[in-house]
Amino acid sequence: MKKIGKIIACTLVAAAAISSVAALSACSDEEEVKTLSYNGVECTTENIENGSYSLSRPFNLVYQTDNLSAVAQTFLDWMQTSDAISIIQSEGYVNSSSGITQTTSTYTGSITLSGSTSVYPLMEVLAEKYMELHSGVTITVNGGGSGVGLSDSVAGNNDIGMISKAFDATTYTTLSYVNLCTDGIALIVNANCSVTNVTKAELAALYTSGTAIQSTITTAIGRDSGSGTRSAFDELVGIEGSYVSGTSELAETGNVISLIQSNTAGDTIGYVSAGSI
Amino acid sequence: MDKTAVKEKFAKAFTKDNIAKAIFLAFALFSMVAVFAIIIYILYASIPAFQQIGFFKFLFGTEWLESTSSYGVGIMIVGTLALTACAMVIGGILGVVVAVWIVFYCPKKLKKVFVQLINLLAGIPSIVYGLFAYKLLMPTLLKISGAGGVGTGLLPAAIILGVMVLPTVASLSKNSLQNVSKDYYEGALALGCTKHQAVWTVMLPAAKRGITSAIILGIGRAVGETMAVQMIVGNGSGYPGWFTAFTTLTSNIVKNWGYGSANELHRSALIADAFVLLILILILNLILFFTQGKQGGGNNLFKHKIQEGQYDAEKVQYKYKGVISFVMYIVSWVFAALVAFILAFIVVWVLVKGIPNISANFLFGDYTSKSPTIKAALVATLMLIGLALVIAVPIGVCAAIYLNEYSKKGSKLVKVIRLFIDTLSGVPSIIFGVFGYIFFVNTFNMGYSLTGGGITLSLMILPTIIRSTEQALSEVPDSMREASYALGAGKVRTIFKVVLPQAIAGIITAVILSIGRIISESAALIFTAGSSGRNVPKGYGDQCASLAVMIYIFMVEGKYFNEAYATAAVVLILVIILNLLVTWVEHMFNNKKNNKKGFIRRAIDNYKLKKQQQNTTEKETENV
Repeated sequence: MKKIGKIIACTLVAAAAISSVAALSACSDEEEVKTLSYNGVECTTENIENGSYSLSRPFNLVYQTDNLSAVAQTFLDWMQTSDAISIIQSEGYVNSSSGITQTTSTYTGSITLSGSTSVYPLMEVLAEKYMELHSGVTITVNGGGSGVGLSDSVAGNNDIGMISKAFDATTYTTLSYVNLCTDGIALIVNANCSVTNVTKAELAALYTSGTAIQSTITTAIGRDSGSGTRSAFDELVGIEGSYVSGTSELAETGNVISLIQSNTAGDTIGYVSAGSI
Repeated sequence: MDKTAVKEKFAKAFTKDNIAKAIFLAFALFSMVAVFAIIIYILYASIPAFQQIGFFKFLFGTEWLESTSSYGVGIMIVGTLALTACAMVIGGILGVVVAVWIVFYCPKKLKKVFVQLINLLAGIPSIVYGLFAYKLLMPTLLKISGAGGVGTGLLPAAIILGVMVLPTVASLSKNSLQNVSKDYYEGALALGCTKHQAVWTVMLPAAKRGITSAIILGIGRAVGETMAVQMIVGNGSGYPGWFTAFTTLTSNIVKNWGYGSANELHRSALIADAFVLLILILILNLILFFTQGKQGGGNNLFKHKIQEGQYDAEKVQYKYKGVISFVMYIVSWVFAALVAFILAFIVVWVLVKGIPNISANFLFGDYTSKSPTIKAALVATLMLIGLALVIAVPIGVCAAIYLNEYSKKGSKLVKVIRLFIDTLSGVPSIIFGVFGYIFFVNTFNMGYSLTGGGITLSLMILPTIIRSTEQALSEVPDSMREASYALGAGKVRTIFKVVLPQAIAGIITAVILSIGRIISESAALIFTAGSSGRNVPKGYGDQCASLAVMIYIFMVEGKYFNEAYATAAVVLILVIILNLLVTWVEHMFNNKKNNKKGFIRRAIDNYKLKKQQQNTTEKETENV
């Protein structure tokens, strides 16, 4: 009985190892994502800047008007200098202002940011650059969504909040904002998908009632209700109320990208920040 | 009464022993306080939602929309129930059958290995299960079924949740099956049953009570599971379907947490969601408490079997007796093999995908956004473990001392305290996370911090420590205590100098298991210790993501899956090491007890003996 037991155990482990290798070669079946053109206009930084690609929204940084620490204020100011703007542009976002100048001094302290997962990748790069320039400053960037950015700012749980939509001054009377850049909302599908262009009406129909786009795209992915990307998208495409049942509502930008990458059937569409691709 | 009489009375009351008893009682009641605090705090924070929306409208509403301020968890309850039911079909059946296999059919040498296997399955962090399901299970199911869309839905979620619930059901069922008296088995054989019939139609029903509790605890686990579920379930707004995105009570909280206090009503509604979840868990625990009842169940069923046999005597066919039981015998071997295969598969997959991405820089280098590292997460995890243990171990050990040493047998207070401890252990980690957020991040205005995370974790590991210590204390023979009293030692001295050292093995095991739990915990920490893994924390007031939270962060970033695999591999290796450590500690202490010499000690002794022999032969040759 002992020998049989050992043989069984060994064959099990061997079977597991072999099948995992097989599964690995099968599941590395991922394609890249491609962006669709919207109403005939391609999603490029030039088109976003000149306004012909209408799916775009601002990235704003919010803070408590009366409570901003000196360290955070200088970080905010630095993000509007021409150095910072060139970083923003090289990351794929749109900012056409010429930039203010800032006198450099040494600063120490810590800054906490939280908010939109669309702004997050850009903010990480900017924070890193800033910490290189000023080694006494520690910057912590958290995600959570535009909603978390606003609520943390209101509650004082962060120094600066990041949101990926227009700032509503009437609701948030204690906050002020600074515009960081403009970002487009890219419509992505798997590279296997044959569709190349969608119109506003087709998008609205898919998200609200599940009508397939050009008979190819049958499923839609969206973002959760706290997402700035989602509120901007819903407003620009004209979607009111909840999505049609069966639409996945994902918590972060990265989720949408990775799900589209593994959708080799090419029948799902999602929307993400254009700079994150 | 004159002064001296009063003084005497005081002196009698405040003896060292009585003070110690009061302190231990206070610690024992702490768990009650904790449970009450959680329930009351969450209820208090959800009252605004209930007031504005109306309790029944909230419970049965089918829309969750910020823009129209209509919040209803009706569809989510349906989602949770559907998911739990499907997961229990998979996990419950697999768990019970595997438990029967372990107790009755498993070859002796394989038994230890298999029990280890089940413990390991239980110890894998839920976020690693989520990673596995997201990256492997979902695409594979999608390919096999040919369904459209991205693969989120009921089917993959039920499968992975079933696998997660399986160890709970299996180990508890195994315990109750082992406790069924062998007389039933022998009696069944004596009456003419085949071995398999005896197992499946007599022993299994005899353990009915224990298996029911195991299943109820499994349901509790399934209802409360968050991290693995929320990536797989899709978070859609409709009713569940095999490949249709839907939402459960737990995934709804995580999905919508983004709105926080910017919208008071929305945040209150989310906490109300957590409250509904908590009530569901409490109801399950109460059902569990009432089904415990009297021990030694199965008598009625056995009697029933004898009576039936009398009438069916003519119908006995000697050739094809007990076909179903024989089929179940084969099935149990298949299921056991399947479970072992599943575990091996998950472990091998995570290690194969993760280890290539581990490098010295990944572990100890500085975090940059192009190449993230887990240096900060490692430091944060160690700090959290330290804080949680420092808080939970003294409280837990003192509570266990009260429950075992000071309480009278069958005392009602002890039963109530035990009920609360069991409730605390059944509370899902997302509820701890929400409670920790309200309590530490908001009320105490600490912001995200390791302190908040550590204290929340200590509440979560407290029940394990209390139960293990209690078990270990109860195994210390009374004769030791009596000998100590006979020599004149007081109760407190006896406990600390005689009883506790004997029970040290159980406490160490509990500590190691708690460390494993802390390393695997993600949901509670995301809400309390924050989710940024960049800066190494310099003190307990800093925020930092722990290892398991980093896996989640890497997953949702979308670009860092290699880092996610690597972190998952690191966590998995740590969990495996901890599990082996537990077995080794138990083995070592068992040897000490039985005066057996372990492998290492024997090797050392042999070496010493050889050396001695060498020396004596050298001396002899010298003398000559």
